Amino acid sequence: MALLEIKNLQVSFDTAAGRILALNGVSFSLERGEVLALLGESGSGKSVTAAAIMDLITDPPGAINEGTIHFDGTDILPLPQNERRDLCGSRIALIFQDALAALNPVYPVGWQIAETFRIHGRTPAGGINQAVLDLLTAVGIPDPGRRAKQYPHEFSGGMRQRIMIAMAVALEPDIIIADEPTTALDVTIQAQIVDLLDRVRKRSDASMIFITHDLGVVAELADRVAVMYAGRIVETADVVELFEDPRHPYSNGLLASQPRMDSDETELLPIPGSAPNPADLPSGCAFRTRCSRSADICAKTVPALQSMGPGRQVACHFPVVPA
Amino acid sequence: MSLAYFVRRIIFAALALAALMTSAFILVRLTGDPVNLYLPVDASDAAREAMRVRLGLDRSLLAQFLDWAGDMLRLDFGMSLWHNRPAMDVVLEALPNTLALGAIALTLAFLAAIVAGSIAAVNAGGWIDRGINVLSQAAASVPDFWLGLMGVLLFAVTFRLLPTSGFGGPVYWVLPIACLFARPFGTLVQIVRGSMIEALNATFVRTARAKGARSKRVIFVHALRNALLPAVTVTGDLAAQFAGGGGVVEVVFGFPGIGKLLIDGILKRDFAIVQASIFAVAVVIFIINILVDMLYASIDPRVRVE
Repeated sequence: MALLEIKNLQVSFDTAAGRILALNGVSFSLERGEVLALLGESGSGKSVTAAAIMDLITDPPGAINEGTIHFDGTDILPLPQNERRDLCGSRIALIFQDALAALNPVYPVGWQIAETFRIHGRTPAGGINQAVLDLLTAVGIPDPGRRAKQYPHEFSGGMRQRIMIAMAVALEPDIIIADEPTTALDVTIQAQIVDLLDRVRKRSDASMIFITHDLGVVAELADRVAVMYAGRIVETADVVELFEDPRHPYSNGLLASQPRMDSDETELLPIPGSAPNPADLPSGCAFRTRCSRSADICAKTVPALQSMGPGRQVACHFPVVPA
Repeated sequence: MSLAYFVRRIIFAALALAALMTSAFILVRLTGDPVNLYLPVDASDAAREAMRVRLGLDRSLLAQFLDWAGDMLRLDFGMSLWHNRPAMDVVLEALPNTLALGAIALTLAFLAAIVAGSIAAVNAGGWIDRGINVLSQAAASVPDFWLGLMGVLLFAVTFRLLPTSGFGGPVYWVLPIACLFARPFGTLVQIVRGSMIEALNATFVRTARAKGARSKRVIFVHALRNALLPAVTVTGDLAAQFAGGGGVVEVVFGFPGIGKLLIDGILKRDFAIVQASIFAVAVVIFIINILVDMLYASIDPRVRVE
């Protein structure tokens, strides 16, 4: 049984422009020890998926209308709020994109890491200080004794993200959700943070959902990829299969728009058009207005996510046929 | 905050004080000649001239100014015409009353506003929020002389629970405190509500929730401390206003504070009292500003000055 199994998740937000469907029937699963990349453009619903798992959707304006999230065999959506909170931080942890905004500016970082221990009360109070110093050392913060007493604004962007990672892995969660953890960082720092995440994840054999739009990071880190478009999963595949043989026209377009080291192809092919407005999605398949393969049926019926071989699902009426 | 920082602040404050006292010197002399007020209408010119000479008002303005400036540097504020005592002695009797009155009213307003503003923010858009909003708007807009008179009418005249005016035991403090409480309370509720809503939507609050923090911890530990900063700033401004005395409120209730002393001093052309009051209030405001800066730095590490 999968560690995390999301089925038909539908999340909406009431906005001035009317109700928008941020997630429109998202289903995927995460196995123990697996790294799943959630790949897609801004607004495709990646972060909303993470927020739904962490019970961070503010209702109103947000609402989970349908679906189930089974964690370790239990559907967590109907659980009382306090039981949801108890899972967060201890069994499922979230790392945000912008660590400066995500750390509380008025408390020392050591205090903020220690808080994770204190909230869940599993670590004896006397051991928390040492645990914090050990974590800071583990995520590569030099001079942890002094640094623990400093405030977020006294750290560089990369160091702040290391502190977020320390906070997330403090209680060795089963699942680490990393929501674009490197987007706000310099390229050189990005690689260090990706390496660090991989290292701390392996240390406790946690599963990870890595939310990103960066194909390079996906290739480096992920076992499996779920490609999102306009609030739906359009393709899931093993990472190697996806890169070698993308089946959904959107996945195909994403790969064709990126430069590759292992190809003689010199021309990059951008996907025409731009991501649709979530308040005004095209009928049928949301990608059809940008898709060269679309036909009449694409405007009429939303293609279902169908199995195409082991571990592979595609939601398309006219999937790309392997060459 | 280093010593150099304080030295710099004190130098600037001394310069500002010198400018302020100079304008006070000029302005009180524009209110008119005290001799006309203190001597009977039919007093002889010789008597008038004699009093002017005694007060030193016969000399040129420049000579008076230099004389006065010398006294100021020695912190000698002269004798009060009306009280016939050293002016600073009179001021230092009134000042503690005003400071106690202002401090109590403002502390109560600050604490009540944090509770009411936080409750409104957590229930933003709901009927509790709307109720608090109406209440605080009303409190912020009611003129204090009206509130004072209505308070006297209701609690002193109709119910005979409180004295109409005067000074003595705790009962004499109730109505003045209630009147001075209203406006800061109303203003601060609006500010706390706004900054609390902003803090509750901040990413660090999402982090706290993602760490497993329950609502109380999220609101009181994570959001509130960030939301306090604007309220502290505004409270500092209000405190500086109150240091000058609860003006109208002190007069309405005959409360012997610096505000009443200053107003009486102007009406009686008691130059020494006016100048000593202004000096004392300015020093208090300077101290309040330093305290607010220190408080601010203790709440927000980002503003700690090297």
